[in-house]
Formats: sequence, C-alpha cells, structure tokens
Amino acid sequence: MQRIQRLGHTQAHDEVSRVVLKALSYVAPTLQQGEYVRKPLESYLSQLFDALLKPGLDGLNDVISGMRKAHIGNAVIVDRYVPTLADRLGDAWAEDTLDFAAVTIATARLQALVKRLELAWEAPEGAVGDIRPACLVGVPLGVQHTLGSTILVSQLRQKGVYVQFSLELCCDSLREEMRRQSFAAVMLSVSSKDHLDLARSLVACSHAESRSTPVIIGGGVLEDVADILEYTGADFATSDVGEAMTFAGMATTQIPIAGVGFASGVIRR
Amino acid sequence: MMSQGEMTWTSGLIPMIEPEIVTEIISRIADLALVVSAKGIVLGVLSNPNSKMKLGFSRWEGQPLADQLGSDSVAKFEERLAAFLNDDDIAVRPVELNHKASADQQAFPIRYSFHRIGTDGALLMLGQDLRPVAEMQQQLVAAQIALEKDYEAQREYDTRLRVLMATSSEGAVFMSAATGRIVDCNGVAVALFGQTRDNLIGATLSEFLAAGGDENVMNSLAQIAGSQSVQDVTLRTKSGRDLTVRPTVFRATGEQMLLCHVTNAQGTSARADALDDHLTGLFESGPDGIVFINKAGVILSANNAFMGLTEVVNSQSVRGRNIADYLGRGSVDLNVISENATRTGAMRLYATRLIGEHGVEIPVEIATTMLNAGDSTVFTMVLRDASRAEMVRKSQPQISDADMRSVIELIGTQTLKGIVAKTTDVIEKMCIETAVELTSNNRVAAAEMLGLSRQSLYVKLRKYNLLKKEPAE
Repeated sequence: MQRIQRLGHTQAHDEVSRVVLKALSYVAPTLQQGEYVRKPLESYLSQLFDALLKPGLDGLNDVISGMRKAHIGNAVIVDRYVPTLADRLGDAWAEDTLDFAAVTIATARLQALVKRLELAWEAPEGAVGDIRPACLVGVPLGVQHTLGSTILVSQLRQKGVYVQFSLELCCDSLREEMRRQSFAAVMLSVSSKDHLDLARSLVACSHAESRSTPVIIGGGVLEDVADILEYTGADFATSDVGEAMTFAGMATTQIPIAGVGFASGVIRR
Repeated sequence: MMSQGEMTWTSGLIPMIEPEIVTEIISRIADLALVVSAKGIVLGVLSNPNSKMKLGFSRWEGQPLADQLGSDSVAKFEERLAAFLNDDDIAVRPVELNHKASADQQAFPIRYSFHRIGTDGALLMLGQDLRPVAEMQQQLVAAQIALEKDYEAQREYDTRLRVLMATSSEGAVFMSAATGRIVDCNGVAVALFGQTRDNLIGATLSEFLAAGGDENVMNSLAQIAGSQSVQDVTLRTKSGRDLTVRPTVFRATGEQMLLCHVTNAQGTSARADALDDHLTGLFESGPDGIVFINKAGVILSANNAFMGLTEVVNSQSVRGRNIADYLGRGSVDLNVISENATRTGAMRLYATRLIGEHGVEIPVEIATTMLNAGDSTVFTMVLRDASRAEMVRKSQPQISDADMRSVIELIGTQTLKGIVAKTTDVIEKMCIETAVELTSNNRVAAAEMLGLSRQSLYVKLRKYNLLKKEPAE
C-alpha cells in the first residue's frame, strides 16, 4: 500500500491526480465484492512453478520477495497461489510433463513454503484468556496427501481459529482427542476414495463421542464421490473454508477462500 | 535406434530376429511388457525374470488394462492410447500409470512407453518399474508427516511457554550464557527496561544498563547462577531504574542459557511509572517514525512507524545500519542534522527525502533532539511523512489508508480498462455535481465550466441520475 500511496504523494500538487485517487478510492469498494476477486497473477504463478522444480531455495525466496514488494501478502500466497500450483503439479503428472518423483519433491517444497508463510505462528499472545473451542483437522491414517490439509490449517489459523492438527488419525486417536477437549468441528481431509471406509469410521466415532460436534469432510474425494454424505455419514462436505466455518458456527470476517484444503463442491446434509 | 533424437541404427545393420528371441529381449529390456489391443484389452504379458515384482500378471490377459489401474490413471491411459492410435506420426510421451492393489500385491507405479508392432492395431507397452522411486516417495512422505507432527508439538510447547511468560508478574529474560545476548523476554521485562521487545532481543544486557556499574554483568550473573545459594543482584538501567535480577542457569539443546527473573528493586510495579509507559506506547504506536542514533549515525533503535516509512520488515535489519543510508542526501543530511542538533540541543525542522528499502523515496520532515545518555550522545529523530503533512496543510480531503487499501485491492480484480471506465464515470459525476453545485444548478454555466455543450451535459445528467434538481435558469 505504501508504494502506491507514495506514487500519489509525489504528485501532491497535481489536482487531477488527487481527484483520480479519490475517485479510485470511491470506486474500489464497489468493485471488490462478489465476482470481483483478485486472481493469482500468471507471471508469479509461472515463476513459482519453475522455482519449485529447481534445487535450492534461492529461486523460491526471490519470487516470494518479489511478490511481497508487489504487496501480495502471505495469506494471499497461501490462499490463492499455492492451491493453483498444487493443481498444476497434478496436471503436469497427468500429462506426463513431470514424473511423479519431481511432483512429490515440488509438493513437499510447496508444503514447506506454506509452513514458512504461516502467519499464525506468532499468535500465542492471543491465546491468553481465549476459551473458544478449537477445531480438529484430521488426516485419516494412510492418507499421504497432506498439502491440502496443511493449507486448510494455515487458513483457519489466519482466521483466528485454534486448530488441533492430527495426522494419521484413527478412531482411537480421535476418541482420545475428543475426550481431552471439545471441538467446534471435526474436519476430515480425505484425498481419495481409497480412504472412504476409514473416513466413515471416523465420522461414526466422532458422532459417538459427541453428536453435537459437526463433522465436515473435504479433500480430493469430493471430486470422485457424489454421495459423500450418505456414504460417510458426515454432516457437511465443502470446498470452502468460509462455508465450513459458517456451518460450524465459527464466525469469520474474511472472505471465503476457494477450495484448497477441501476440494470443490459444497454438499449439505 | 534413436540417439538424442537422431536415427543411427538402420534396419540393415542387424539380421532378422527370431520371434522367440524377440520375446526374450523384450522380457529383459522391460520390467513389464504388455501387448494391448486397440481397445485396451491385454493380449499378452511378459514380465522380466529379474524383476522383483510378484508374478501373477497372466490373469490380466483378456481383461481391459484399465481394470488394473488406479482411479487416477484410467483416464490418463485411455487418453494417451487414443492419441497413439489416432495419429501414426505422433510421438506419445511415456506415461506413468498407477496399478491398483490386488490381494497379493500393493499398488505400484509403472512408466510405459508405446510401440507399434504392426498387427491389427495392437501395440506393445514397455513398462519400467517405478517402485524404487515410489518407496523413496513413501519415505519422504513419512518424514514429512513426522515433521508436521513435530511442528504441531513444538507449537503446543511454544504456546504454553508464551502464555506462561505473558501472565507472569515478573520480568523474564532468556539469555545465551556464551554470548550474553537476550534470546527472549516477556512483556514485563520490556516495560522494566523501558525498551521495545525488538530492541531487547539480540542485544546484551549491558547495553541497557547505566555506566559505572559492573562492567562484566554477564560473568557476575553466571557466577551467581552457578552458586548453590539463591542470590539476587541489583542493576541500574540507563533510565535510572534499579532492577532486582535473579539468574538461573540451565542447558537447552547443549547451549548454556540464563533465565533472569527481573523485578523492580523499589518494589513498585513496573507499570507504576506512567511516563515510561506513555513514552514506550508513543514509540511503539506513534504515527511518526522515531529513530535513536549515536553520534556516528548508527541506528540504535527504531519504531514500527519508521519500519513502515522505509518498508523494512524486521527491525533487526535496521539496527546497526547508518541512518545516512536512508536519507536522500546521505551523509550530507546526517552531518547537517547532527551538527545543528549538537550546537543548539535540537533541530526543529529539516526537510529531506527518505529512501525506502525498495528504493521508493518520500519527502520527510525531521525533528532532531540531542540526548545525553550516560557517557554517550544519542540523537532522537522524529520523521514525518511531509507529503501527508502537506496535504493536511492545504486543507484538502485526505486519502485515507482505508481508501488506499481499497485501491490496492482493486488492482488485479478488474482490467485497467474496466477500472478506467468506472473511474471516468465517477470523475465525470463528481465534476458535474461540483459544477452544478458551484453554479447553483445553472446548467448553462455548468456546461460552460465543464467545457461541454448543454446537450452533452443533459445527457450526462440523465446518465448519472442528476436531473431531479430543478435548473436555476
């Protein structure tokens, strides 16, 4: 923001510029609603994609540095750029322009980038006096795709939600977690239908422990299974973090983020 | 044979190969070789006798190959097969396919290349076993999951520590015993030392203590901490406050650390000195940049507003740098400021330009005060964004931060053309409204002021729904 402010200030004597700036500031809010959502810029996407495939972190750091100068913040990178990059890596494997070893390594680097950019790490001061229930994000045992759930956790934390992130979740560990504390929601990230049976068991287990805690299911499985709620018994299935938070009664002041940790489509029981 | 895309092996170089020998060769050069019909039915399977893949592929014969593939690979195979069959000349890239798990074999990936064999549209698929790579991938994923778990556990411990420190009524300062530098501290310690947290982290304790005290504070603290009895030591800060420090020594991952519990020696709360708190609050939250420098211009501390003006993310990267690096005329500016402030104690106003970390320049006004901090001389510089001040002085409507944020958010959500069109509309409407207002709704005069014909003005008034006012004429 400072940069544009300064561009305006250098022309402080230019009344037309002042009028234009005022007009822009007047118009801007009206054009930032609904379908007018800032899309990832192709130039940065392609630079990031190339940097992910190169050894070393210098290239990636340079691109991130450039994006910061362009006022593209960490949250936007995590919310908008990382999911697109993950999709592109998947597409590259499907088209055999990248082998799966390269895709695996690039995905791991992408996941590390999400961790690095996670804003909520410095949030603990806010934890004092906060008695709101946390949200459990679980990845069922055997599910190896954890990038989506990592992004989801990062997004929730950026929105001020306390998250218990449980990898390799099984019924026993879920039961243990739910007896230890109450959750506003249990969110299960499932990447493929190979893990649907365990997901169904986890939903049943969660409901047995607390029927009032909604179980929300998401992940790549939503693209493959149409009757996901019937099959798993989950209360809600969604691609949208905002939708999930609303369903779970967790207020958010930020705009909903398009499908990241959860795959596309919203299914309500 | 293709060598780097060039054919170097012509058919005449080798004699015709017997069919059974061809079979033998194929079974040796590939881990898995499939003869597949144009419809994707497996006609024959050859597996390499040296391969570690479990046998049992013969049951694939007569079955669609797609039935043996994972859900992520079916469409990929069908698409690539169709592309290969539809165009004789097309060079189909090798395709990586995941075979689904069976009762006696786990899911496994194979990279297949496609080859025509000239009979009834059938093709040969030579497969390379990718399980060794997949196993490495599994190890990587397992390591990644372990890292994620560690990260979450660390987050939990970190939160507990921070909550403990934040709620403590005593100041807590963690220091490296080896370097004497402060590694972490809580809010009470920040208040007791009258510094910002950023200033304390990375600094040594002695930097904040009054001259004339124990010159080797760190050694004294380490000795006291190492003794059997619990002892306190009293230290005086540069602002003259006496602090009681109780050091404890411990080891963390091999490094010896000191935890110092800090309290006010007078027994009063650190919060009791309201002026200190107010000044600290002003420094931390004030809208103007505040920088403390020494005689040489080296930055001792800088507040968040200065970070904003210079677009520096981390205050640590500012400390130790020379303020001249950020001034438009560099050392010339610094010399003028320091000489004037030294001569009269303060320099009320000095105008120059501030150069940000990314090269953006803004006009600033700097007020400088010379302070005597113990034996050393320190200058305090208060920097104000002059362009903003100028706007206020001219009594013009100011562009607020919220307005500017809106503008920045707008870029990228609309094309330039769209933004310009919308902006033009708003400008037109604003100008017409102003003109109508200025002329007391005299539309002839308004049109004249705007350089428009009356007809054009009427069209625009209608366009912007401004016709409801009755004309004065």
